[in-house]
Amino acid sequence: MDKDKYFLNEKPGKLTYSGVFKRIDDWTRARSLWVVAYGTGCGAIEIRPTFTSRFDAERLGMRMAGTPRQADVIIISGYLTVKTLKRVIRVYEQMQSPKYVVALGACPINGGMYYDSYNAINKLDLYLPVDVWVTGCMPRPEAILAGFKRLQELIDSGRADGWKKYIENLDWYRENQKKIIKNWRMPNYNW
Amino acid sequence: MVARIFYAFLILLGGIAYGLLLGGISRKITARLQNRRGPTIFQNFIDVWKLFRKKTAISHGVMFYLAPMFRLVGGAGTFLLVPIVVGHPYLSNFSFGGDLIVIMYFMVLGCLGMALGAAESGHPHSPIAVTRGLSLMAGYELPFVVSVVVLMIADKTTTVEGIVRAQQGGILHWHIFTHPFAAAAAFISLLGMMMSYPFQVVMAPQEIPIGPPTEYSSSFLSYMFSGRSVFAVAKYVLFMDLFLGGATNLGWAFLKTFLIFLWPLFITNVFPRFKLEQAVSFFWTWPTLIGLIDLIRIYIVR
Amino acid sequence: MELVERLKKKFEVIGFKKQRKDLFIVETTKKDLIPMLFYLKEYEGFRTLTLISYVDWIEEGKFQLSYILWNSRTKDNIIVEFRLDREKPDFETIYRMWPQAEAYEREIHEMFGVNFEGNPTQHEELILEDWDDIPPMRRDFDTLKYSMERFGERESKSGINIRKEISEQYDEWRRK
Repeated sequence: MDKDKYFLNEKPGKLTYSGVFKRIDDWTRARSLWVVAYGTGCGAIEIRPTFTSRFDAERLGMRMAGTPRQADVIIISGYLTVKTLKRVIRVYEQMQSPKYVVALGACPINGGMYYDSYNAINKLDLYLPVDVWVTGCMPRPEAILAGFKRLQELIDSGRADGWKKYIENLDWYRENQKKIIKNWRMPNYNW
Repeated sequence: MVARIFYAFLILLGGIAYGLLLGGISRKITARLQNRRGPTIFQNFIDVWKLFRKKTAISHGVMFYLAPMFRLVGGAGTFLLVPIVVGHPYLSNFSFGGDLIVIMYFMVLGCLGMALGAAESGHPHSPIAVTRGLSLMAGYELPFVVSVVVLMIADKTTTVEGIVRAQQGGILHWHIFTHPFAAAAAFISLLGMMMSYPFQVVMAPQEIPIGPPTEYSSSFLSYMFSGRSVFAVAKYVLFMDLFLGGATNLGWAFLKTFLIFLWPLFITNVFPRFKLEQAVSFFWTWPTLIGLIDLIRIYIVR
Repeated sequence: MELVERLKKKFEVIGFKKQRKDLFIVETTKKDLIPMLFYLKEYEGFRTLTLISYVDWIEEGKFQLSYILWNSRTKDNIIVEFRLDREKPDFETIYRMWPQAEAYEREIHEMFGVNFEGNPTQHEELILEDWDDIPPMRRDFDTLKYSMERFGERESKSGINIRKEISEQYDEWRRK
């Protein structure tokens, strides 16, 4: 099988976007956040009430997307093990370009209660560009909604540019990722 | 001719906008039924714009790129063949003699294009959903064809325009009252066409998260979204022409299509889902039998 | 106390304890363990393997394997345990008696490094992908040091290293 046909290995070109529609783009992006339905840790249990009747995230224009191809936001919900990190990186790189990362809980920040675990990472921002941190262990849906409001503000004012940083500093992120994922059996690049 | 094309373009844009608005209204109504606030009714416009301006870096071959176009063309083609206001120079669209059969062909086109593109994308969920979609189509086409044949025989015409003209002269001349069984069959098959809930095996959010367009993203998805919206509007307009006596101006068209739009919406919010074989066997028995009653009635009355 | 008499007649029983009304603990030797499990399963009605548990006695240089069985008729539990040499932890699989033991043994192999001879899947990785250190659940494995080296540590703005303090307090508490 022709590998290059399926894995686009070269780095994408300059990804600055600008122009007449930039203001409308930011406005719509802020109001239409599709979240990829992938729970990495214990915090995934708080996502369900956030998106269903009780807290109703749909009134902010958010909804769950069944596949990373269509999603804008990935939620790192709680602790992230090395094994999950591998999958998260794959999911993140399959998402299409204006994309945002929201980290829930104490674990992605400094390890939280798994600070001395042999398998849970301590600093998420070494491996993925995080746009919004929501602290707590676990944050309740109110806190998650507040975090998303903050993300909307950032996008609306054009300051949520983690995805640009990821492309620009890809080598640095790759180096960090390869440091803890010893056997790198993934394609180097696949947007 | 130039004016004709210009107005057709305007009507198409209007159809897409109306379809997106109806989608937003349905999301709002669903939310209110579930006792929550829900998004604004313009949410679908926001979604489509956002998707349209997202970047794409996926390649799965030529057919993958063409499928959303097929979908859009299938929807737009159906929409442009159905007369919205019969007799109006522009709003009667491109209807012509024998167009009912062409319309029924066009309604399949989008589905087939989707099937080809989804098969090309290579995601395991897509072929499952495509198989389901095509089987379901074989299910709901039968009662729909039966009821359309009833109308064709009763009015001795194969044009939508002729069927609309046959219903003029008062509310009791509408086919929904003169041929109630055929209308019932067609309206039940509309549930399948709109993939509303008892027959929602194609998108099936619990098993195959989003169905055929699993691999599609960004602008492809926005084309698909608008294609689906305009296709839905085309079906509402077709049903209005076939059973609710057409429309004499745009106001009536909006009112009647909105009433037809409410029917699958309220069904979808209160029902669980059939399995595929249950859905197909349901379509092949109950609505088909109900439609056949009218077919037999026409022959006996003659 | 009938059960222990019957067991003592057939096998070498090092220790016996009745923890609760329905929970017995039997300690035996490596040689007698599998015959005893077989006897308990086929003759005494302990037909369900609930769990395989594991203790690291680092001071004595031993590992302890505990097999927890359940009798569905009399609702009795029995824990059959034995000690294994820590330096050379080789044992045999019991997955032919209870197929579910395969997964437990696989986990114990990954977390403690016990070699279950005859288990077909024990070398496949279960949780740890590409692990290259000593098995992490052994008590001589320093998880804090490993975590700091591998995953880094976030500098706090106040200059107080909370993690270190907590871990020192924890170590103190553990020494008591």
